[in-house]
Amino acid sequence: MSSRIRTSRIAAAVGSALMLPSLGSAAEIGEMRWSGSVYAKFLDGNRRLENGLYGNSEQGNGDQGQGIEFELLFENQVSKQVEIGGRLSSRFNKNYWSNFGGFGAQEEDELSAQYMKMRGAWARLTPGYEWLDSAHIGSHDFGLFDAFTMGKYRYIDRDNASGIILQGSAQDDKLRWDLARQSLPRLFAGPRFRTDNGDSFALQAQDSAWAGQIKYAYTPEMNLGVILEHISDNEVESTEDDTRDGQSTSNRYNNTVLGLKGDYSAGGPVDVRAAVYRSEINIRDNVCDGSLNGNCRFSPTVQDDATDTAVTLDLDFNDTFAEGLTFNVQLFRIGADFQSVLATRREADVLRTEGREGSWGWSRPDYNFGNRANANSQAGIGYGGWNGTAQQVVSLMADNDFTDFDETMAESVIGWQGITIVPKWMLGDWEWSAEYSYIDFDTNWQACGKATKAECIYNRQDGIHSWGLGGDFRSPYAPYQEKTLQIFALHAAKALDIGTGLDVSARFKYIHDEDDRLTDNSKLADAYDGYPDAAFALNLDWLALPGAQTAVTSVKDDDREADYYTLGASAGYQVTRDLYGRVVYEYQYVDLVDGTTNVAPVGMGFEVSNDFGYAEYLTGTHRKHKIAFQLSYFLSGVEIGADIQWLIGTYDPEFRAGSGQTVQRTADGSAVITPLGNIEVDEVDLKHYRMKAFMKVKF
Amino acid sequence: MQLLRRVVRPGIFIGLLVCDVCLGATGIEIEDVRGDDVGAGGIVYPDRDDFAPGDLDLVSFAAEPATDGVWFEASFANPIRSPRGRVVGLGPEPVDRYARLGFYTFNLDIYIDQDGIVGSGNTATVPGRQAAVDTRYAWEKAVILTPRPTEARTLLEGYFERTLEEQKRAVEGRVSAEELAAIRASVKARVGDAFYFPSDVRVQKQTIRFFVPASYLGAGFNESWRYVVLVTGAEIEQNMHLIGKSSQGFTLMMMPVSVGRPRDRFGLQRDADGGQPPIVDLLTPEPGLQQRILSNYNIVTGQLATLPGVPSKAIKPEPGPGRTFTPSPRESDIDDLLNASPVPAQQSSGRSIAERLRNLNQLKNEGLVSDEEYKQLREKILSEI
Repeated sequence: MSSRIRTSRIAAAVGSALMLPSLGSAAEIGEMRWSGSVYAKFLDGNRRLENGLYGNSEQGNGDQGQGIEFELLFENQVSKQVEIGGRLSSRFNKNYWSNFGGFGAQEEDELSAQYMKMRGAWARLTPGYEWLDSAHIGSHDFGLFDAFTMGKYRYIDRDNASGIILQGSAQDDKLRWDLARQSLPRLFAGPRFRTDNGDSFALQAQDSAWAGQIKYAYTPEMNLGVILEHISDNEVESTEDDTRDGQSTSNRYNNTVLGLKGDYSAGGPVDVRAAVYRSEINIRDNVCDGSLNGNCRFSPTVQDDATDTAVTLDLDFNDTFAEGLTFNVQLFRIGADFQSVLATRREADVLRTEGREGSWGWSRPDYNFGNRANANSQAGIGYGGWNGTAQQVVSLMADNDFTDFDETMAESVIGWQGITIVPKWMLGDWEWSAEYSYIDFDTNWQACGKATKAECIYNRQDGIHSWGLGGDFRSPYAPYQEKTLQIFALHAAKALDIGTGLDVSARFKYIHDEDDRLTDNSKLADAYDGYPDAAFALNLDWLALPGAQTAVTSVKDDDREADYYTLGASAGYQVTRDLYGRVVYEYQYVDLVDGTTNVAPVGMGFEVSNDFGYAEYLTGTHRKHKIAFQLSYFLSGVEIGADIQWLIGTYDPEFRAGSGQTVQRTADGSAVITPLGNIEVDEVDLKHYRMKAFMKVKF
Repeated sequence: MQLLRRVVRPGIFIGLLVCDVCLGATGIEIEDVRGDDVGAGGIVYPDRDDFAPGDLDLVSFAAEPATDGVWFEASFANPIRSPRGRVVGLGPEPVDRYARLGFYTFNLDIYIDQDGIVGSGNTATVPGRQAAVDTRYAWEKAVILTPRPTEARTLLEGYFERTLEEQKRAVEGRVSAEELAAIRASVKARVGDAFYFPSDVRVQKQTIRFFVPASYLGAGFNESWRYVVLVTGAEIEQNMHLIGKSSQGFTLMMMPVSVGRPRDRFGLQRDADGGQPPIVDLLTPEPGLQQRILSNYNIVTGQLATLPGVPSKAIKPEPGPGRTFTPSPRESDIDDLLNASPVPAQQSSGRSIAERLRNLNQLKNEGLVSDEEYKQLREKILSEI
């Protein structure tokens, strides 16, 4: 048979294969279905940190190593009404394939041990009652509610939370309801990041979050919704220690959030979405000591009872002004006291703005010291920050732990209020979009609205200021603030008709960030009191200066102002059927003035020391070039990817004296004396390389 | 779209009249019933925060000719969800690393009957849709809009290659390297001829526009073309337990449906039949028609839901050689459709031809089937190739 004949016969067979439809097969009763995944990750970078195959603020950031995770999932349709499932999983460990399968001493460390753990198990009942569609019992990501109330989880996994979920519907599914009880995560979900007081009266089993929601499709164009969540953290009543007649409980804290939501979209000139949430938190008096740097400094809640509101209103104008031109306008206010303990901590975007640049996210303290021996200096993501822009969450515990640099960072937007306007249009074959945001802050206050900063009920966490370069992503509060933030962004994208198509994009972004901080002369002494909380850690050279040289004597001396510029371009190309490559270039420029050399954050404590590495002197100009190569390789059954980045930049420090003062240099003249340390006057070069590659198979 | 459109509105088939007046007009727009993103009536959205009723609710479909191809446009009830900021299920990588075209939650299949000849063309849909195109609207070209077009094409080719290889091995007992290469070449050519996976895609609010070149369509835009347009949920990761790893269970980057309210699939309402196709929305201007069409299947006989093209009254086929065609009134179309002959059933066991032949051999060796029965059964199995 000639190959031509054979080929033509095969072509006919292909044709017949195309003609052959197929019916899917539903899972059979009792059939155990197994699936799983293998996920390998490879990190490399010139920081040479072996703290783990991810970034973690507590255990440190790692930029080295290789590891592989294995996951096994099972599901069984036990009967028509009952389905069960579960998941066994290993985690990346700190052996980096170097333990040769043995049992070295390092495996006594839980982060190094190679173990499989049951990560989740569940049962789903569909009993067939008219009033109940399903009941889920066990682990779940709770993504069925919303980011303001009971948010979707990702801690280590996405199903770490467990509880019971009931779901139903009525009126031909126009009305849907969900009711859930989630066991409160004792790892973090309460004042002081815990759900007990650490004493013998601790009780976890009753700690719960209840959430219920009703969604009603009033018409196909209009949806309405109401959601209510109540969290209750109870302990054994300390006055009752006799179990013979039972023990009552007392409430440690509770948190209630009520939300109303609606949207209308009929394909007309304007679509409308609106949501309003009201929160209330009540904390027992003895849980927090109420001091600025006290036992609730690290906490996902404020220190005392609080009530506030969060509102968003979105107006989408469709082709209203010109064909192909759309405008999204969002008005928003997230109250300073809005408290929702189980709000989404990451992987959500509650505001329309693209926010700040991930590149400047929490890259401490490379600019001043870069001290490898300092554990806290290794905790940051590093000089490159995260890829892209920031996501906005309404949680006081915005979470970027266990992340890779190719993820998007999350930041808390509690206190944000303002407007965002996003136009999108086509110009020829170019897709354009832009943004203008003006943001004022409900957290603008002097001494937190009290007589002195000591009366602040707001947690400070790691951060000593909450915004931009050198700031922290989960600390919206500072005792003295008077901030505004403006964001301008312009994006363009086009697929050029070159080869298989060259995807090009460009962007420009400008952020203006300013904070007058102290605006009330009468509070100068309260704000700049010589940092007694930091006495053990302050720069000794600074302490030795005459008092007239260390005082902050004008409310103008502590103003902070920063201009951020970003220029970026990328080009992506489908090199082969299997391989897609993208090259990215970004130029970041920041011109930042942060008070005078004497200004350190108000109420500063232990973080001033380089041993902790939380604070940096950042006044000056910052330039950063990023070149990245991103590769995506695809085969049937496997995905392989890589992101390889070079980050080259400089920090050119500038020094300003306070009112009536002079800049004070060290004896050799090479550094300037500040509370945060002796800062070298020479320009600092920063050169980082980092790489992440992965391979994943889901079977 | 800046078009002089002929519009087909729910329940009112006025398109032909309008278009007759507007010969030379530059496109077509067809409206779909709002709020019908429930498939055959029982589909509910995955229990996830990035899916909500209305997301896959197709409300209009349009085609606009350009100098070198056709721009298609689909509008949905809700704004199209952007992959930006989302993270995949396994690992923390951003979704937009995989879905680079600005959408990730749905697939939109368009099967175009270009010649209008009854029975001329293909009736199959891509694997996993569990539906067939009505023979009266048999298609010549299929446009599959999917978040990962290159990968989808590769997977589809792989599926056909595996299927043909298995079939050949079942018949001839072996497949040589030369034959395998021929299969690959033929599949590549045939898939390239029959399917197009758009990569020039624009997303704006509720609307997605995508370009299909004339070099693929083989002809300039013609208003007599009829379309079967359907929407399914997209599975952008290679979740093999969802998309299937064997040729029998393969689905093309699509979320299946199953009972309850699962997170990684579309669910089914109480008492909804588990065998219904995973098509969430089908372009049908007539209210109620979609549910009747998608409910008309039989998993025992293998009858698939049979999908009609739209606009139905635009049927002006040129009779092919030896064929005659009489346009029928709409109600007749529906009746015919709902009584469509079943297509050949799939192997009910879900096993491959080769597996079934091996099983048959085993039965014969064990003396459980006679030589005559063996011969008959073998012929029956092979006849399904």
